[in-house]
Amino acid sequence: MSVASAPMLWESLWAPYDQPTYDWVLARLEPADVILDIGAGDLRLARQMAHLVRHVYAIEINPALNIHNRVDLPANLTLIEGDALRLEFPPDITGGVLLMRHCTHFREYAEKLSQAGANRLFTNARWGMGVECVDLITPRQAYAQLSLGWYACWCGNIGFKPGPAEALTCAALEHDHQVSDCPACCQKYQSRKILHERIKIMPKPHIIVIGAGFTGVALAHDLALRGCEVTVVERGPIANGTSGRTHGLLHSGGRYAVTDQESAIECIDENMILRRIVPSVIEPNGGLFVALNESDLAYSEDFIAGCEACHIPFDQLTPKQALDLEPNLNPGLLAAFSIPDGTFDPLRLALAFAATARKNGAKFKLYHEARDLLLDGLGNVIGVKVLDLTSNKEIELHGDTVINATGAWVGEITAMAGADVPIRPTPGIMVAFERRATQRALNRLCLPADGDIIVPQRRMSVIGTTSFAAENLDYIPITDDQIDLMLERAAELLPVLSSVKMRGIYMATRPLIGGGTTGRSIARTFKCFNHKETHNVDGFVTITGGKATTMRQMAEKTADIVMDKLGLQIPCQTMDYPLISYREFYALNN
Amino acid sequence: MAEKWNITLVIRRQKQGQQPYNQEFKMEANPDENVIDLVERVWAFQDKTLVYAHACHHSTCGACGMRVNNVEKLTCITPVRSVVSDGGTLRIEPMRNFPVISDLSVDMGELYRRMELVGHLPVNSDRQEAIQKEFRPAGPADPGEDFIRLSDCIECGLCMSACPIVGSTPDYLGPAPLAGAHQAGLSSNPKLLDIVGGTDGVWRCHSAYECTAVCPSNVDPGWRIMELRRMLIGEKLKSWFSPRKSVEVSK
Repeated sequence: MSVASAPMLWESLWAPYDQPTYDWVLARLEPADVILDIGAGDLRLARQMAHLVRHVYAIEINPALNIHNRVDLPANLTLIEGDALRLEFPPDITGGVLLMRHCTHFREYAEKLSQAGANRLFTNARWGMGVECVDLITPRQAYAQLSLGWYACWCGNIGFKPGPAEALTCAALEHDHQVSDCPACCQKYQSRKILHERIKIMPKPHIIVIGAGFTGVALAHDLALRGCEVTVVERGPIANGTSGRTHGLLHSGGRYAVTDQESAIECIDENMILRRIVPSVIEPNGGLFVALNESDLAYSEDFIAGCEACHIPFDQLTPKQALDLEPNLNPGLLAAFSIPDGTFDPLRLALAFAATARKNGAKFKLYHEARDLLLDGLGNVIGVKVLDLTSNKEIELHGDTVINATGAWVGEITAMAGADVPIRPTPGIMVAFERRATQRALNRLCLPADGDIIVPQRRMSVIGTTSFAAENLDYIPITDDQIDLMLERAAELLPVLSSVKMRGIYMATRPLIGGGTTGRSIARTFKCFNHKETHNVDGFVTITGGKATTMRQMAEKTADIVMDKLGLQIPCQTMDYPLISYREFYALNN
Repeated sequence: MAEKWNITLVIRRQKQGQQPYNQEFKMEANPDENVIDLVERVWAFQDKTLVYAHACHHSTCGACGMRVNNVEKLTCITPVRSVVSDGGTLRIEPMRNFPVISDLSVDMGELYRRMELVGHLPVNSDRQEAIQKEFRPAGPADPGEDFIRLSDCIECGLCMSACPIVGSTPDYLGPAPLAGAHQAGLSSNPKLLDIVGGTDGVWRCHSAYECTAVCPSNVDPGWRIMELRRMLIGEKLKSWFSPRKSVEVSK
């Protein structure tokens, strides 16, 4: 099967799905079994098991993971949505599956399964490695009641409990006692309990994020997961600046594989992560790089080398193969490559991060404009003065750290603290056509240039973009020559678009890092500035640059710096954390 | 050289706890610009306290719905030329049937809750989504191949604002959620039959078709509501002529 025709296959390249582990489990199933699969994900194991056993119950807490696979379920496969820790298990189960190396609730699940009548549990959670079959029938005694002898515990620990000399008999030594709460696991569970208590009473650091674009909402999500109190202030609605106005290309990294490999690697990694954590806003249909002339063709060698260096999977296609996939392509094309690009909905991508942040306690103050930074006597930032535009009232917010995540507008905020960052706001035009001419995103096979990307989106095709310098960032006028350039470039790749009506024309201002040099050649990698180091202003961090595809990583790096500043060692958890429905952002109350 | 028109914008203003009023803004406009560009210019050059919602500027996000001269419009794809002539006045108001946050921005939480309730799929298979073939790109005839794409309904709320029934009966589910239920399919959720066929479901519709008239995304909620009625009648007939299936209880 060609890579391009099976878009969902890309997930498996990144995800830790492991067929040999599944096979090990499948080989041990009996036809009469009723299996409960805890954390069934996209149901790929559950479906295989359903062929072999009487019934499979699949529990999954995150509906987003199986949104595309929940249709046409076999009659003996029941999908249960919810938290396996809270749900009541079905009464007729004979076995459980817990393939989740990072699971920290093994003991709870094993006990619950045992109570529900299951006789065995297939799992790789006990030591976070190989799969094993845990016996759930043999009754377990409390560790305290064991007088002496070798024991094996739920948690996987084995040991010897010393006891009085008179109990030291051959019979006691021959027997392996199955216990339920050895000292090691008591310690483990006890310490977890203490830690949770401590986190509850510890004052949470309050972080204020200025800007609710991609960076701001991803930061709110990241920091909320790390246990911070987060307030986001934004002068408009969510993603009203550059973020909302992207073309919506979920980069595979192919665009930067030759010119900026650091960016390309960030893109392919984050592309795969976003597909997993927020599938409900992504069209995962792949993309093509298309060569139309000899100079494009000459670029293909560099392109192949670049993709290989950045571990971007690609397939080389003949012109006929490419036209078979996308019949609207310019029939004069000379070569094509398929790569795992995709399309995302800009607003809904931001909303999904914001919704999840909100659910985890972050507060969003929309239509609140940051008017000034609050400084202490030493010039350090201690808060923000904001104007509530819905009521024209000014309020002051105090925080431990203020993060400036205003993208192209960072200069306006840093100036309030007497600092600056080397940023080059670089607008570009985008034109949306009233027709979806392809299923895949199209890239011109050449060095990044004007109008080299066409992205399908709902019923549209969007072409972008250009690159120039701007004066007033709040309003970038649209010029006819730029529209004409886009129309011309679009017709080169997709001749059908020359007869299609334009639907929308808009400008977006990307924040490129660095000063002095011209637009295109600046690396698009993001930068995070700790102003304690740059301008001796404490409590103030600026993040800018980057692109939508790398938003999660930008937030991770920035939050790492903030945690470091605050002397906290709490790791980032966003990489495997599925986001909730974007609609919840409006449904939740603050 | 681009054409220049002189336009007067009359914008409905309202701050929380205060009475609404209209404010005039005079400006030059290119007739081929979209209405959102004018609103953005008012904000950028005349009054920074103007509150309005917008994000993508190309009709994929559904944030910038407003009433333009009394008609619901997605302002990012509404050319000035299509709603006013040179020297004319553009009245811009927030959408109806939603609580106003401030000025032109409204709280659409209720719509989003209802879309979630009916299980509208934000991404869907291409075949399911684009029922009308002309909206699907030409593709290979491989029957095994399908694509996943963002749903046509962008949850802009224009239909909710234009619907005369939503205005008089706030509990009526409304065009977008009903269209969402049709897109998800009645069999997707056992409760859906009751939600859609209940007192606040499809039977409240008076077939004004305002929803279909203002929909910027060809979702055609009016047609979908009529389809749902047809399906509900079918279900009803089926239930009369076939014995009710008893629910199997496992031992």
